[in-house]
Formats: sequence, structure tokens, C-alpha cells
Amino acid sequence: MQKLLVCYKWVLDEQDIKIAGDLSLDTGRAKYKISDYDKNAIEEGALLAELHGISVEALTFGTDAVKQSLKDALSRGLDKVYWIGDAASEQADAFVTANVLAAAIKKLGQYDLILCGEGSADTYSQQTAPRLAALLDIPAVTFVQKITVADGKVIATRKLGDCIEEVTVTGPVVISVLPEINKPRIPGLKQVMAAAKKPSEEVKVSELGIAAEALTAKVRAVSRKGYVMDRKKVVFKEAAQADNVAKLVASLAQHVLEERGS
Amino acid sequence: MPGIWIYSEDSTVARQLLTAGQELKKTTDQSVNVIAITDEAAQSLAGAGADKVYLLKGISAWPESYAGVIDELLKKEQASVVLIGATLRGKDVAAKVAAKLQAGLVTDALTVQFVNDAIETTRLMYGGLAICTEVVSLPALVTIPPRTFAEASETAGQGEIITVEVTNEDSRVVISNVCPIVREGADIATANRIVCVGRGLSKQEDMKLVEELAAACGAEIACTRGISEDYHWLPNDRYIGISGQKVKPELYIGMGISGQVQHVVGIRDAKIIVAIDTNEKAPIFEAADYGIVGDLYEVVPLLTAALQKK
Amino acid sequence: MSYALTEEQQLIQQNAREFATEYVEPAAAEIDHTAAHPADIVKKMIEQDFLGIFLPGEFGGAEAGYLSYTLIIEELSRASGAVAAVLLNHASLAAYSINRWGSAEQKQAYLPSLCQGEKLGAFALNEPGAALGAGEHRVTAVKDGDSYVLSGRKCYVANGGAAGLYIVFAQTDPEAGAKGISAFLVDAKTDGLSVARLIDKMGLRGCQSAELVFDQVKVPAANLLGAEGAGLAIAAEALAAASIAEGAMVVGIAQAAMEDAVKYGKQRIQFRRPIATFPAIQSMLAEMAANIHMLRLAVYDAASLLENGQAFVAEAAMIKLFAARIGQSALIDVIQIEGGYGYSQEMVASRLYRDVKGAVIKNSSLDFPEKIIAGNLLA
Repeated sequence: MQKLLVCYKWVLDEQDIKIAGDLSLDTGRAKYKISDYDKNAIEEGALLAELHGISVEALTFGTDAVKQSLKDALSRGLDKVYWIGDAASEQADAFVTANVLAAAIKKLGQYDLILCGEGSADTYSQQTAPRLAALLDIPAVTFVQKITVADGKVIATRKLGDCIEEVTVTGPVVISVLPEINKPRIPGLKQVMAAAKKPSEEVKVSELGIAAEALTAKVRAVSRKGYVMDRKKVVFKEAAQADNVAKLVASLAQHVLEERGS
Repeated sequence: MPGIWIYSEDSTVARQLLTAGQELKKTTDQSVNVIAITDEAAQSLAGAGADKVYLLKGISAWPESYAGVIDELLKKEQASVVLIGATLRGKDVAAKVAAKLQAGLVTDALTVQFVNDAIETTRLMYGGLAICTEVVSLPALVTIPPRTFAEASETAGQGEIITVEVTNEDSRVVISNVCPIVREGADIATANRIVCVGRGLSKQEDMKLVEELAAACGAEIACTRGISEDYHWLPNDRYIGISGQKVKPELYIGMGISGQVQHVVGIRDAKIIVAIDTNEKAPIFEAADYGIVGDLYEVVPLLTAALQKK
Repeated sequence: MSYALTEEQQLIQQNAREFATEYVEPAAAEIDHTAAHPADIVKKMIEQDFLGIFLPGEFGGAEAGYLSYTLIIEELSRASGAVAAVLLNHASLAAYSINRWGSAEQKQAYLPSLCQGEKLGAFALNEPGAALGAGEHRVTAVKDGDSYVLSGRKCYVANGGAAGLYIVFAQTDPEAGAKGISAFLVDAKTDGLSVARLIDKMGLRGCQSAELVFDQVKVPAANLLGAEGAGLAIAAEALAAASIAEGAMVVGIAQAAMEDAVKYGKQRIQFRRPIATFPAIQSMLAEMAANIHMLRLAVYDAASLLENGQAFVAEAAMIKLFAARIGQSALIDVIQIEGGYGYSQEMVASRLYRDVKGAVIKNSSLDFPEKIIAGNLLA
């Protein structure tokens, strides 16, 4: 085990997004952040690198805005960040993203372990890690809550809906991590100040030899609207709570409570 | 021969997708084929109305190991639409297959339909804040969450079962220590009634209040993320939210829950939502059918008593 | 001059906010209630390199600059003024002074342990019954061979009892009055130095305030900080550096209070509408929002002056003056907006009200911002 790579995404903070009266999305005040579960992936990479004395690098694909992510990423225990800032990422779906990342990784060299977050905070499509593995012809282990490296092998514990399983992989592997795998440390001041001195390198899409078709999204967004549920929104406002409770029970009796003891 | 293809390692989910497949079939006269990896699943799905069932028989029983052979089959058969169950295993396999097919894939689609020779889907994004309508060119893959569609009846017809011997071993991967996750109590994902508690509850000892209400209306107990992940007052499989359980009960009663979008996205399919909270302006009241503004310590015992009387 | 924060400063601010939300906020009410020194939080602050923020790397400091320090103070203050005060007294008073006036040996001897948080620093300045500026100090330091012997009592020592190192201001030359005060580096464990009592305060409870007794405390002559007689000048400049950070404390506390009032105003219904729609409430909120914004910019500016080695004492005094005015009026208005709810001890606003007073209170008779500003103007 020599080299680790973490893939992260620079996304709009969904907490800053507002829904306008007409249900359109207002991203005007939204700041960017490293996608939450990618922070877990970076932290896992940093922890493994510290434990085994090996290098950990990162790769990110986004618009030009990703340049603002570099110091943030480098302050989290990474040795180097490769960044791809290209307009193609505006409309990119998981298909395009995986094609770009795979091509970049093939160019950058051999990584023993590639870490990704389980899904991104914005689209949460949960496809990048398995797609990447398929394109690189290596195994993928998804939904991992624990990683151990021993005897040159990677042992990943997966937490699936109804069971836990241990997957041991020999050779390079892509792993997507669950947020419960670790609690990312808040970077200390010295780490933030040292980030400026760490290397970052731009990788240009044009130098990756990717066919135009592979850079054209297969999934195209037609509309994005605020999600609002259509509920009755009846609030009981009697002075005495006992009266409110009585009214509530009466309303429920109509709809739900016919069968008692079910 | 282009067709609508269905796969889930979970045959119950596969039967639900079959319903979706039949819906699609109505707008485009293509056959509905199902991929199964066990004999029982193949039998059940053949009887539930699939035109053809491809039973893949490989040496490895690990569902994920079928990704490579599934993609070869779909390529060979020129599948046009592939519906895969959005279980965790299903999402893993779907993405690998999509990569090999160099095709588009939509995750956790709420709806799926044919529109102008392409597939149109809707799904949530930004943590449940927004709903997105997307168009996927063919061949299109879509993962659909369990329980989005009703199960096709097991006596809907009799399709042909085609057995295919496949090589799915990968010497690089070894599976071991497979342990079922033991659930304490019922699975809230299938519960009919749910009483859900949030940070409005001051201390763990007060859970008794919640238990009494749950008992009075025959409900399972659930919670918001903080109650299980931070306070550990309930196990993690009891929390409802974007990264937790999604529930579909007839009745959901939330107490001391502000109603942040990350929680609400997990209860949106509930038939009736009731909210009890001290804050008049809490977002939960926008997401509820019925609400009482008040202290749960006052309201919940009253509600429990009223329900016990009925 | 650019007021845009650098990338590093933005990250530092973001991380400090996360730290405050994660670790300080949940403990704030308890700290205020017990008034106990927040040792656990200090330990976590050490891990974040908060104890030597603007100090040189050669002594274990983070070299992140004084502006980064004020950003951190502001974020901590939003959650707990007491925690911010612990850091402020350690950094702006003790650590700043040693870095500024210490000899190479003194810096080497004391700054590393301050930066690593092995020792917290504190200033022992005020005395019961003696006015600082008048040079009538009762704590005396008498030269005896190659030591000084300190005797007397100090009061209102912030971080008193929790600190490992005190900078003690004592009268070395009674005849010289104000010019006869000197500063000494005194290890807390020195024989004869004891804590007489801890003071039960109105606010900033958690930043211990102690009365110290010096009973023939022998201090090596090498521990004289700066020259004999330079004590008052040292105190004056350190207090100015602290004023900038106190401004940041007020910004943080007032910001938290304002946000609480806004949240409250949107929820509280009277006459069938949220009270935030009433002009009277809006006027109060607008006033405090504008004031907090101005104060924040003034803090950034003064911090930048200090960081760049430029004169900053007059600007620091302006901050002291302005912060006292707007900080107190903001909190008075917040309590008013929240009415009975705000007045209740169970709610956060009443603690913020008590804390902001602690942040603006003049620390000693040297703290006379009007005089400093006028003096600078009329020079």
C-alpha cells in the first residue's frame, strides 16, 4: 500500500439555497463547500496515511470555482490536490464525471486505494465510486463503515440495509464511505496556514483524450423546483390544550383510527 | 430486441419494479424481462407477469458479483430501459452496469415514464429541498426505491424462464463475516403508525411519555437524527431522515420536532402527519396535516389519555 | 487596504465557527451556571492551535496573525463570552506582552508553554484600593541580590487560579510614582503566591476572576519584563491590544443576541402578526445590525494595523469606546424585544446581556479611551 487518492466534490451549500415564491431555487447567496461525506473520505484518507506512513492525494472535478477548494482540502491532511476546472462540469452527470475522473486517474498513475464519499450533498446520486471502479476495471466496495489495511490487502466492512459484510480486496480498489466511518477533525490553525505551501496541480480535460460523446451528459435536467408538500396544515388553536387534543382525536378518527389495536 | 429490463437482488422489490415495468409497457410495446439470481426469485417473477426471466447462475453468491454479467446480457439484448431496485446493493450494481454500458443512470427516481423516445424521471435533490425532473437518453438505467410501486401479484401470468450459466468469480475479492443486522423491535420502514420524537424531549427518562403514546395508538417509536446519532437514546435504525429511514405509515405523530427538511423528506409519504411543538413558526407545521402548538410535556399525556379512552 | 479576508482567514473563521458550534455552544449554559474554568474546552482549543494564534512559529505559535485571532474570538464569543475571555486574557495580555517586550531568553522560556497551552497566561494588574494610573501601587517589588521580592494583593485577576503564568505589575520605585512600576513574569507555583478567593461575577462566568496574595514571593531578576519603570507603558499597550479583541467579543455576543431576537421576532405573534413586522422592533434591530457591522469593520481594521506593525492604540481606544456604547445598547434592546422571555434566566439573551457588560467594562483606571483618543488628536 503506497498511494491513496480521495475524490471530492465542491458543491453549493444546500443550507444557503432558498425557495422563491414561485418555487424556483435561489442560489444567489449560496457558498461552496466540500461535500459533507467527501470530508469523511478525506479524513479516512488522512487517517490511513498517518497510520501507515503513506501518501494521500486528492482529485476534484468541477468548474473554475474548484480553485477555492484547494486550501480547504489541503488543510485536511492531504499531500497534494489535482484539480480539473472545466465548463463541462456544469451540465455533467455521473456518467461524465466518472469518465473524466477515470481518465485523469489513468494519467496520474497507480493508486492502491481510491476513496469517495457515499454520495454528494447536492445530487446524492451515489454513482461515482462504482462507476469509477468499473471504468478502471478494479473492484468497488460501497457503503463502507470501516477500513483496515493489512498484508497489502484492504478489508472493508460494509453496512447494508439488513446485514454487515466484510470484503477483502487484493490489489487496487475504489471504496465509498459512509459518514459514520469517522468524525472529520476540524483543521487546526497550523494546518490551514501550511496549506498554501502544499502542491496543487491543474489537469486539463483537453489533455485527457476523452471523446466528446463521453463528455456529454446522458441525464439532462429539465426542471428544478422547491419541493413543497401539499398538506392540510390545520393547527388547532383552542385556549385549552385538552380541547385541541379532543379536536385532533376527532379528526384522526375520521381518517385513521377506525381500527383500534391494529 | 429492445426491452424493459428489471433487476433487484431482493425479489420483493423486483416484483414492485415489475409493476413499474408493466406501466412503461403500456406506453411502448416492449417486452418486460426480469433478471434473477436465485431459483425461487425466478419462479416468483415468472409467475408475476414477466415476459421472460433470465436466471443467471454463477458460482459466487455475492449479488454484487453479477454486475459484469448483467451488463453483458443487457448489451447483448440491447435493453432500452433498465429498472433496478434502489437497495444499497442495487445502487452499487446499477452504477457499475451503467458505466460499462456508457449509459445514463438516475438514482432513487420517484416517477419514471417514457416521453418522446427517452425516459423522464423525477427525484429529490439538495437534501430533499428540491425536486428535479430529468430526461435520460436510451439506453437508460433507473434505480427505484423499494415500496415506490406495489408488488405485482404472484399469479399475474407465466413467463418463460431462461437459465444462463455465468462466470462471476473475481479472485481479487473475498467476502466474509456476513452478519445480519439485528433489529430491536419492528422495522419502522414498514410500520403502519409511527410516533416520532425530536430534541424537544429534555431527557432520556422522559421517553416513557413517548412509549405511552405509542402504546395507546399501536405505533412504533422513531426519532430524529440527533436523538439516535448524538444522544444514543434510540438505536440508529430508528431515525427518520435523509440519511436514515424513509417511512410510509398511515399515521405519523411528531413531537418536539422542528421539521427541518432533512427529517421531513423521510416522512413525506405518510398518509397523515400530526405535529406537536412549542414553536408556532416551526417548519413542521408547514409539513403537517394537523398540528398543536404547545409543550409536548403537556399535550402528549393528554393525547395518550384521550386515545386510551377510545 | 483590502477588507476582504484572505482564503486562510476565511477557512480559519469557518473552522472556528464549526468548533464553537460543536464544542462550546453545548457547554455554554453549564459554564455560566457553575462559573467553573472550562478546562475541557481549553484542551480542545489547544488541539486547534488556538493558544498561540498570532505568535511566531519558532515558539510553537501558528503565525496566523492578529486578524485571524480576532475572527476566532468573535466566533467563540457567539457561543460563550466566558470561553473567549479565557483566551483573550491569555493571548492579548500575557502572550502578547512577552512576545513584544520579552528578551530572547524570556521568550524561549515562556512562549512555548503558552503556545502549547501547558500554561495559561494572565495579567495581575488591579489592586484593592489603588488606582493604577496614579502610581500608588501597594504591590511592591524590592530588589534583593539577583531577585525581587513581591508583596501585596492583586484583585480581579482574570484567569486567576487557572493560570500557570502571571505578569505582575509591582512598584519597584515608590518615589517615581507612575514611572516606578515594573512588570514581572511570575510562575503560578512560586512559593508565597496564593489565591485568596474567586470572585462570583455577574457575567463572563467561567473566566475566573481571582484575588491573589503575594507573600514575600521571590522572583529571579531575569524575570523582569522590559526595563524597570516600563510597567505602565507595557500595561497600556497590552490593554490596547486587548481592546481590539474585546471589540471582537462584543461583535460576537451582540451578533448572537441579535440573531436570537430576530428568530424570536419572527415567531412571537401579537395582534395577529409576528412582532418583527412592527416598526418599533424593526428600528431596534436595524440600529443594532448597523452598529455591529461598523464595529466589526473597525475591529478588522485595528487588527490589521497591529498585525502590520503600525500604530494602533488610538484605534483600539475608539473600539473600546464604540463597543461599550453599541454593545450595551444592542443587548438592552434585545432583552426588550424578547420581553419576559428575554428576561428569563432560562434563555440565552440574559446571559449575553451579562456577558457583554463584562466585555466592555473598563479593566482598570488606565482604560480611559476618551483620554487616549483626545490625547492622540491633540498631540
